[in-house]
Amino acid sequence: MAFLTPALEDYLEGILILKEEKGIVRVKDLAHLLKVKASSVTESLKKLKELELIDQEKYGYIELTQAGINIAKEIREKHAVLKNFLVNLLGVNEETAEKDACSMEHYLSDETLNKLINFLNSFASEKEGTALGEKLKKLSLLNLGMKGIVRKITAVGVLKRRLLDMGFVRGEEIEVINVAPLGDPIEVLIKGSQVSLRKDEAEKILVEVIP
Amino acid sequence: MEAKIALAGNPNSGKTTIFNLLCGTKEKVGNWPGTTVEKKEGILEYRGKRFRVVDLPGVYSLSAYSIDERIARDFLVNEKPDLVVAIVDATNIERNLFLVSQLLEMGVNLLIDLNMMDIVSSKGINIDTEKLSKLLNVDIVETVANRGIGIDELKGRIFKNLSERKNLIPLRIDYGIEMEEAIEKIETILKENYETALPGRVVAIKLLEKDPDFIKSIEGKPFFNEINVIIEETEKRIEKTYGEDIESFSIERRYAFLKGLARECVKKGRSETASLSDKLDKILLNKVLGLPLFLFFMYLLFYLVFSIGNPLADLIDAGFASLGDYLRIIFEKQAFPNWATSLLLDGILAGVGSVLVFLPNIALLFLGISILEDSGYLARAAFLMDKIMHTLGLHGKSFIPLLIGFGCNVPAIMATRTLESRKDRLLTILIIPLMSCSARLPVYVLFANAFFPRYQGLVVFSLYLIGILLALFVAKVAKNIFFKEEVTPFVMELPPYRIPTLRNVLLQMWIRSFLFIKRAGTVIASAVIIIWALSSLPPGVEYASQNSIIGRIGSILAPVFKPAGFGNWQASVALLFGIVAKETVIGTLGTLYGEETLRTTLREVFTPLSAYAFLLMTLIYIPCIATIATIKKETNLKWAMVTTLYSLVLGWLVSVLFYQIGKVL
Repeated sequence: MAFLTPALEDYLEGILILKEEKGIVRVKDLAHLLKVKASSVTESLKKLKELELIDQEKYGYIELTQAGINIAKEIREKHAVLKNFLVNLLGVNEETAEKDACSMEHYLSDETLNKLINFLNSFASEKEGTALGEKLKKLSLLNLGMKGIVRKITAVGVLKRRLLDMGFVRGEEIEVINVAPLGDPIEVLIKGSQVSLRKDEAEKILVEVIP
Repeated sequence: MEAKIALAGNPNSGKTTIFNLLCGTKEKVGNWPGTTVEKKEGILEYRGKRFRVVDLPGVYSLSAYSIDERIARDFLVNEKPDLVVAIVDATNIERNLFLVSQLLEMGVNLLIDLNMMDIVSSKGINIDTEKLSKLLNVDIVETVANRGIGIDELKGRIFKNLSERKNLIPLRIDYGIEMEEAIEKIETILKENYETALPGRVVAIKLLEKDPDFIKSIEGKPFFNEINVIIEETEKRIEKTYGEDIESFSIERRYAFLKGLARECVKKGRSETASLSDKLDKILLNKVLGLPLFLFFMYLLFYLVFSIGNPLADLIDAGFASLGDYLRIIFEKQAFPNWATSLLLDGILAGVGSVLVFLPNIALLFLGISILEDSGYLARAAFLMDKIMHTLGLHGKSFIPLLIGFGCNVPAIMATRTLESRKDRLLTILIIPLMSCSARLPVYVLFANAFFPRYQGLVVFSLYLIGILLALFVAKVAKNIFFKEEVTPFVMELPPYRIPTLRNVLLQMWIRSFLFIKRAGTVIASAVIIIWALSSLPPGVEYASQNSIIGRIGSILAPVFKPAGFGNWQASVALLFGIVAKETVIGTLGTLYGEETLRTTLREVFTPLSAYAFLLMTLIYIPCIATIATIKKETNLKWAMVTTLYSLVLGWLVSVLFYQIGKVL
C-alpha cells in the first residue's frame, strides 16, 4: 500500500464522511469540512487521483475508488477507537479527544490498533458487569423457570457471607425452580443444591438473565 | 484419655445419622456452654478402645457470622480434636468441599467421608475417589449412612487415622498474586511477634477477610497498625483490579479452586432428567395444592400426637390413679400415718405420674417431627409458611411448634429445636404459652357452660383467638426489647426428599423422650411435691383448705385479683394449683366449692363478667410448671423467668382491663 501523508489521509476520511452524509462529494464541501482553502483541496485531489484512490471528472463530483474506500475506512476506525479510548477511559473531553484522535490516527500501527480494540472490548464487557446496566436484574424479579448468571452480590454482613459460603459467587449459574404458593420465598438451584430465600434477600443478588 | 473425634459437615450431609451409627444410644445431648445450640457427644467403641465423638453443628463455612459456625471453629481451635471426620454429601462435592478446604487449610488431622454414594451412582455421577484423595492429601471413605453401608469401614479408618502419626501439610490454595503477597507479609509479621493456635497463613487470610474475631485478637498489639496498613492496601488493590472486596474475592478464589478440583475428579453422568425429588416438589410446593397438602400433613401430625397420644396419656393417668387407690388400701391396712400416705401418694406418686403423663405426646411428637425432618419435608413446610410467619416477625419453621402448642406447650417448646437461629427460637418459645393448650380447654368449657350456655362455642373460640393476638403482640414487643440488632438470613437449603429410616426415627424418639424425663422430669416432680406440702401443712389441716399454707397464700393473693372481679381466696388457690397443670383449676375449685354443686356455686361467686376475666387469666398466666421447666432446660433460667413474669403481668393486666371496662359498659 502506498504511503500517504497525514493530510492526504484526512482527505480520504473526509470524502468518505461526506459521501455517507450527503451522497455526493464536492470540492467546496470538502474544503469546508477540513477547514482548508478550495485551492489546496484541488491540489491534494490531484495527488490522490494519481495514486488511483479517487476518481474525479474535472469540476465534477469526487468518488473514492475501492482502494480509497479501504484506506478511508481503516483510518476512520482508528479514529473511533482512539476517541473512545480518550473519552471513555482517560476521561478527555470530547473536543480535545476529537483533535488528538485526528493527529494520532495517522501514526498508529495495526498491531497497536488491534490490541487497543481488544482492550476496549474487554473493558466494555467488564463495565456492563459492574454497572447496574439494563442487562443486570435482581434475582427476585426473575420468573419461575428463568435462569441467570450471578454477577454481583449487593448484600452485606451475615447475609452476604452466608450467600457466598453457599456458592452464590460471580459467574455461577442460577435457576428459579420454585415459588412458594404465597409468592415468597423462592427456591433456586445453585451449585447443584436447592436453596430457598426470601424475596428481600434475592433482591440483593444481581444476575444476568440467560435464555 | 480417650481420643477426641469431631464430626463436621454441612447441614443435610447425613452427619447426625453417621453420629448415631457410630455411637448408638451411648450419646449425651446437652447445649454448648452459654448457648441454645444443641451439643451431642457420644462414645465410639472399636476393638476394645473408646473414643469420644463430638457432633459439631452443621455449617457451610467457618466464618464467625453465626453462632453455629463460631462454636465449630472454637471447638476446632481450642479443643484440638485428634481427628476430624468431615461428612460430605457426595452428590454435591463442590459445595460440601468448601468447608473441607477450610479444615484442610487449618491443618487438622482429617478424614473425609463421602456419604450418599448410592445416590451418586444412581445419578450416574462418577467420582474418582483415589484422585481426590491424592490431590487433597487426605484419606477418604465412602458410605451410604441411611442404609448402614460402609460404617464398619469408616470405624476402621478412624481407628487407623488415629493410631498412625501423619505429617500434616496444610492445604494451600492460590489466592492470586495480590492476596498472596499480603498473606506472606502478614505471616512474617505474625511469625516474629505472635503465637497463633492456627497456621499463620490461615490467620493472615482471616485477617485479610476482616474476620471480626481475628481482628479483635490482634487489636491493640504493637504490630496491629502494620498489619492494618497491609490489609487496607490490599483491599484497595483488589477492589481496583477485580471490583470486589477481599472477603468476596477470597471466597471466589476458593470456589474456583474447588471447581477445578471437581472437574478433575467428578464426571457428571447422563444428562439429568427431573429427579423424583423435583417431581415431588412440583406437587408438594404446587401453587394450588401446596398449602392444602401442608395443612393435611399438619392435621396428621396433630392427630398422631394428640388423638393417638391423649388416650395413651389418659391410660397412664388412670394407671397411676388406680395404683394410688390400690396402695392407699394397703397403706390403710398397714396403719400408715395419714401424712405419710398422703406424702407418698398425693405427693411423690402424683409427681412421678404428672411427668410420665407427658410421655406419649412427646414420644409421638418426635416420631412425627423426625419423619418430617428426615424426609426433607420440614424445610418445605418452612418454605410454604414463611410468608405468613415472616409478616408476623417469625420464621417459617416457627409454625409447627406453635401449632403443637395448641395440643400441649411442653412438646411444642421441644419442637423449637428445628429452628436454627437463636432469635427465632427464643421468640417462638416466648409466645408458645399463649397458644391455648388442651389442658386449658376443660376450664374454658366448664365456665362457658356455666355462664354462657348459649354462646359456649363462641366464648371458647374467642379465648383461642385472644391468645393468638396476644402472641403476635408479645412477639413484636419482645423482638424490639431483646433482639433489636439480630438479623438472621432465611437462606436455607431444601434437601432432596429421602425415605426416613426406622432406626433413626426411633432413636430420635427415644433420645428426646428420655431427655424430657431426665431434664424436665425432676423439676416437674419436685414442683408437684412442693404444692402437696403447701397444701398439707401445717400438720393436721384439711388438704388445701383455707388454713393450709396454700390457702393462706391464696387469701393473701385474693385482693390482688379484686380489680379483675374474682377476689375470693378459692379462685386464687385454684390459680396456684393451675401452675402445676391448668386443668387442675377445675379439680381444685371442685374440692373447694364441692364437686356436686360446683356449677351453681360458681354462678353465685362469679358474674359472667368476672368469669370471663378469670378465663382470660387462666389463658395467659404462667404456663404450667412443666412448660417453665422445659423452657429452662431448653434455654436457661433467664428465659424461664422472663416467660413467667411477662405472663403473670400480662394476664393480670388483661383480666383487670377487661373487667373494669366491662363494668363501665
